[in-house]
Amino acid sequence: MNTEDESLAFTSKILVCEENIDILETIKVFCNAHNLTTLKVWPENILEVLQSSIDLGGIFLYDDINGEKEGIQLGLELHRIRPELPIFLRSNSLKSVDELPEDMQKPFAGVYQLDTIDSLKDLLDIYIFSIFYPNIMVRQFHDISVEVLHSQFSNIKVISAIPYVVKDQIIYGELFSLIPLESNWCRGYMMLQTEESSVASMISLGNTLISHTGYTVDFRDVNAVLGEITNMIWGRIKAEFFTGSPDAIALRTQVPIIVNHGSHYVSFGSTEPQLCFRHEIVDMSEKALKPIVLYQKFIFNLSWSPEDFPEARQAEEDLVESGELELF
Amino acid sequence: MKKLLVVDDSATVRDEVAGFFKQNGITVLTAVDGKDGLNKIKMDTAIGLVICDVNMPNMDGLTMSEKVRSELKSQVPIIMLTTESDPAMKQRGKAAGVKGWIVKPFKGASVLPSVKKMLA
Repeated sequence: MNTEDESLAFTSKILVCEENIDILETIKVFCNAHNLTTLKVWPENILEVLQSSIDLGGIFLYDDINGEKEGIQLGLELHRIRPELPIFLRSNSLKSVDELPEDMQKPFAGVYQLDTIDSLKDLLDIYIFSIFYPNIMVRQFHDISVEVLHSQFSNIKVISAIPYVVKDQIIYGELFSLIPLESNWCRGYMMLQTEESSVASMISLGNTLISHTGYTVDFRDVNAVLGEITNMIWGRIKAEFFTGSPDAIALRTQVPIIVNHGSHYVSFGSTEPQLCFRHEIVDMSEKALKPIVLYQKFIFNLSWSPEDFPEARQAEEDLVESGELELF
Repeated sequence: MKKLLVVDDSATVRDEVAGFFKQNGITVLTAVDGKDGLNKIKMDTAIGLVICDVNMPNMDGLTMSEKVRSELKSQVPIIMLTTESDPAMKQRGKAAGVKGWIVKPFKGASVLPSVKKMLA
């Protein structure tokens, strides 16, 4: 991530199911112009890709698959599998979702024609980019997270993708951590998701603060590493940006978080787009370890007032030098 | 030299902090939360310094510090090692008899001289 870039924009990954190369190119140009990253799929493999993609913002589909309007049925199936993802349907015969039978309307966020594709912009703003995340917040959350990762692993480099928004609710890896974020401008959670094996390998190699000699690394060690990373990022964000506390009445508001282990699915009760960072933690030794992939999501499902975000970090003089003993 | 007690629910931090001080010739005990820490302080009078996290399950570090003073009537020095740097939190620490405050991440070399002095 280029931290010098003042015009930082979010992206979002979109599955585009189209067979015609010219149409695909037009859609790609539109998507590029609107900060969407496209992933091309075929009607034959879209379900498979959907199973393996965990960080999507939406789906572009067309209705006239095989000349039989099979796209509508495919849309229904996609919605059944991933109901959180908006589907934008290209159709030459439909002008609006309302023209579909009532029981078929729900999966489709909108209908468009290729020559009026620009009309999709408003729908993208509603379904994908509806949440405003201040650039400075995104940049500083990123920087804090990378600093913490460097403090918890030795001999590594961190490669971060451009931050993006997801509507996806599929869980990545075997473990995730959750910690509440509570302030007068936001309430929600930070979630970190990763795979056990890659973290365990890093511990075994001696690249973490866990003492690993004399025993086999197990999932509890991995949990401990993820827990401390979560705690450290949370602490830094809290110290630097949570200058006010939410009032007591606001704190009473809660919604259940539902985790479905079988479907690898987590719901925070809100379908608002989540801010997502994807970090790769790469071992710099010659051991050729598989990188740790860490998905970091911010889910402000209870309260979100970015206009109250404190734009500057607390004045440097207010911050205690980390690691130094301050005697009372 | 007296013993050092490290109280933290994070195994990562316990390993890191305890490992550093052991390498520097200090006898270190560990506890997994404030309740465990309080019990260890009660049972072992050779503990001469406590390094303790704030946010822990079962009993947080500040509550433990308050109980060390009020229930155990012990004056063992307690230093908080935490991600918290909120002045109000520190003020509560002072009121609870906390001797010092370290904001994570832990940098052993910078605190070693003070720790050795307190344990001497």
